[in-house]
Amino acid sequence: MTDPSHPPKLAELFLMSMLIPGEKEVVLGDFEELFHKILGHSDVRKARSWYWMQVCRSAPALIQLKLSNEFERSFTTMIKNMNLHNKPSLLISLIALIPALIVIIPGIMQSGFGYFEANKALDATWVKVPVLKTLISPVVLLGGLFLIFILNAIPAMKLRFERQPEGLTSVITFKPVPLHWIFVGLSILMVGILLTYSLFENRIPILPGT
Amino acid sequence: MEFLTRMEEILLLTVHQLGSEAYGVTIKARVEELLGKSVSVGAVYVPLDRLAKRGLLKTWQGEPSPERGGRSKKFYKLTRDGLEILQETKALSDSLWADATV
Repeated sequence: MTDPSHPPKLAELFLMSMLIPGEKEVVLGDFEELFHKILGHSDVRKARSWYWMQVCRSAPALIQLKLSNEFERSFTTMIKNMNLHNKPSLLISLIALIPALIVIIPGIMQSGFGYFEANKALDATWVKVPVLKTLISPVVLLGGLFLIFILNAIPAMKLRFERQPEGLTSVITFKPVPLHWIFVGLSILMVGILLTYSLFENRIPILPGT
Repeated sequence: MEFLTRMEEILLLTVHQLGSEAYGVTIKARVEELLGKSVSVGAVYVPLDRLAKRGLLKTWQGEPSPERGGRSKKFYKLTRDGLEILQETKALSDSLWADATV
């Protein structure tokens, strides 16, 4: 049985779960001191319900603080862990994102959000099925392109620049991308190029009768 | 000039007034007295943490005490930047209210 002169254990556990590790002792201490103050001028039941009430009222602010701290901590750790070996790989991944943005943004803007212009172009061809038209609309295809560039960026992030003892040359090792991703990526890329071209030419160049 | 929220201003002023006795429980009690209503521990603790991160408050841990279940207190004190921003806030507030008749 729990000691009535102590705060409710469950509420304490709930409170602890919302606190960042370094602050648990201090905040739990403040709660306990306040609990004993309440206990000094009212009964145990009131003090315990006050404790629960305080924990619930504090929850949104404490959770928000914990989340922001976690985010800040992980971000800081990531930056701190970036030594001379992996800073260039981050730079490469960021550079890899630029062509993705160059393709996707004007692509979508050019195509009138990719659907209406695509439909117009496709109406002149054998592609009449609405679902199919949607599937191969520029939004989907350019999204595919975007995915390819993102997939390129991931292995780039994993690049390791191993400094040689001489300090002048570097060995670059790639973590290989699974083959099926390369196949899917290249296929989408090819269809994407064809369809994007067809948008400007208003025809599908490789289909018979166009 | 950096700006403070109303709660941050109240907290900095409270910490300054409480001097060496400024820790969670006393700060909460003083804020409740000033505002005339109950505030949650979280509502006091979170902006205090933010002010400490901004370098306006410095903190240190006291000795563990039995009424806190053997846990220590976290004391707060205004830094030089904290004092300066409080003075600037007061000056701004004074100039804002100087010619106003409400």
